[in-house]
Amino acid sequence: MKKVTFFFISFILSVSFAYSLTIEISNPNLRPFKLHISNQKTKNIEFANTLTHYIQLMPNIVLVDDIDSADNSLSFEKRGDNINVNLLFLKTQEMITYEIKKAEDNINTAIRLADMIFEKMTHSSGIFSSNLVFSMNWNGVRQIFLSDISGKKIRKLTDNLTDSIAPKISPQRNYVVYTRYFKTGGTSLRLIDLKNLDDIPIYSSKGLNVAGSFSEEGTKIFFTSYDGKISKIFVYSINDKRLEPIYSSKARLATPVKTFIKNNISFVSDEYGSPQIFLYDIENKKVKRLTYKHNYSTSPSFAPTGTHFVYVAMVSGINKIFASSIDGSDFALLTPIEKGFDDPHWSKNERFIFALSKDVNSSSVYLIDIATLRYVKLFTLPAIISYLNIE
Amino acid sequence: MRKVLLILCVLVLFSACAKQKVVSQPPQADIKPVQQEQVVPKEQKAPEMKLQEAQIQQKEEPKKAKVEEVTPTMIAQAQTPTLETAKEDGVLSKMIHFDFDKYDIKKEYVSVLKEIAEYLKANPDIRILIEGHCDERGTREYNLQLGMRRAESAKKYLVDLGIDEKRIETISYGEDRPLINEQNESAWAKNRRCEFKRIK
Repeated sequence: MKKVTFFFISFILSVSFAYSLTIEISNPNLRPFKLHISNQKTKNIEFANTLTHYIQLMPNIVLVDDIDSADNSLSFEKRGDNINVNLLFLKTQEMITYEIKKAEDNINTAIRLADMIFEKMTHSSGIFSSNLVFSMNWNGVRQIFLSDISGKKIRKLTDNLTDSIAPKISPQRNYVVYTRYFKTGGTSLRLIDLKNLDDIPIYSSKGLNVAGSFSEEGTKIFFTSYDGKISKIFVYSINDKRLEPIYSSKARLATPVKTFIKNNISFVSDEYGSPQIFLYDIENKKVKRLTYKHNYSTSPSFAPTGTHFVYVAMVSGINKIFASSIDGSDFALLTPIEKGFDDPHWSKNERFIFALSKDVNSSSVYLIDIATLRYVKLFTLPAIISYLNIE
Repeated sequence: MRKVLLILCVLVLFSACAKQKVVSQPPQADIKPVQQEQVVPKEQKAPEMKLQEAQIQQKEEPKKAKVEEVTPTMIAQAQTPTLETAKEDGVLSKMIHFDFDKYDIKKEYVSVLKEIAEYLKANPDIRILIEGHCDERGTREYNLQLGMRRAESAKKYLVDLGIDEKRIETISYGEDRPLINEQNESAWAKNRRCEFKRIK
């Protein structure tokens, strides 16, 4: 068993408390993977640059100059109009060659290939084809946007006259649900079908209606509705357009999300005086409180195993991301730095946490490696983006 | 086989997390953590609820999404200030402010609400929208709910003062529309507010 101790000296210098984490690594897939990219042959090959850009976004892949210290080597060969991409496993000398045809869309092809290379190198699924949705000011009105994980391909999905916020994308990436304001109070939930681009209202009322997440299979939407008297959590079925109230409270309810635990969702409630995270068994109608360690715990996102969740807790005025097991026995701070984060989302391959951080006039999307706490900035936009959601 | 490997990988990962040791004291929250003994039992039963049809107001129409590719340059150019609802003058231009993560009406703003109530009584045709706002601290989705509670607190106070609740609408903008774009206590205090807008 390989034992690695990570001392976050730079973090310790910048924060008022010190952490020393000892992580036992028995599985070689949890270590960072070292990749050497043959620079000489990549010159003037736009595709090679695009692919390299994506691969280096992964916090568990480290690009190295010295081929002798690498696990894998990536090289590019021009073959007429086509490009061959060679992935060499240095230990076994096994080589996989991917042939890229000239006519193919560079970005989409690079994303697909990056996923394949990531999978071959790390034995876990790639997340390059993930999509992000968020809201952002656009000429004075907040609109809904869809992006790839590099921020290179951003599409504005709405052109509404009133603010549109809090988008959530389905796991199959075929729907986006969002909240649109009425000028005279009240909000509606609207659903965009990303295939035919229909943008239809699914629920509207006085007060606030905000979606938390889609169900795992993408056919249901969990959302909160507050009419000024009582907060409710509803499940909306997309196929039969049926609405089912599943929980209600006089307390503030927020962020009803899927948990990957059968018949269970999670939500935030201030029922006991401060926002905390709860697990709710829809079938047996049992509510269980999950967070106790902080006085402000919000924005849960569950690991695809359903055993752990990440959330944001406010500590000394800064939003920090913590990971916890359902029973609270495993507990770790994932962002031991001064920077504040919001909207954490567990990646589908369970290795990373996506999160949003904002500065005065810009916002950045980060990817945090939960095994090493190494993090990379995926992209920065010259605007305050909010309500990040990822699938 | 790949799935098995993945599951194993995750199990090992979490067993690794379980072995994390915090050497120093964990950071203290700025407010005292909730005491375990204050908490009612960990599991409780939720009330029964009935199925209902999805309701949609008539004014909401289906439409086609207009998808447009945007670049960072276009994004930077589109960052004009948020469109404000009409600026009010007179008594409706007054605001009430709140403590952090609170939505109860502070004594010092009772007089403002009484003034607004008197104004509404003197002008029975006027309807108002109360906007609830928050400072930037905390998380955005939760602040959205907090802003709504602030607007509803102000509404309830006005209703208790004799204003017909049908004349008052509420909405929350959470932390999306700060009055002051600064990161200090003075700015945050001003941003935690309710604004009163005439519905035209």
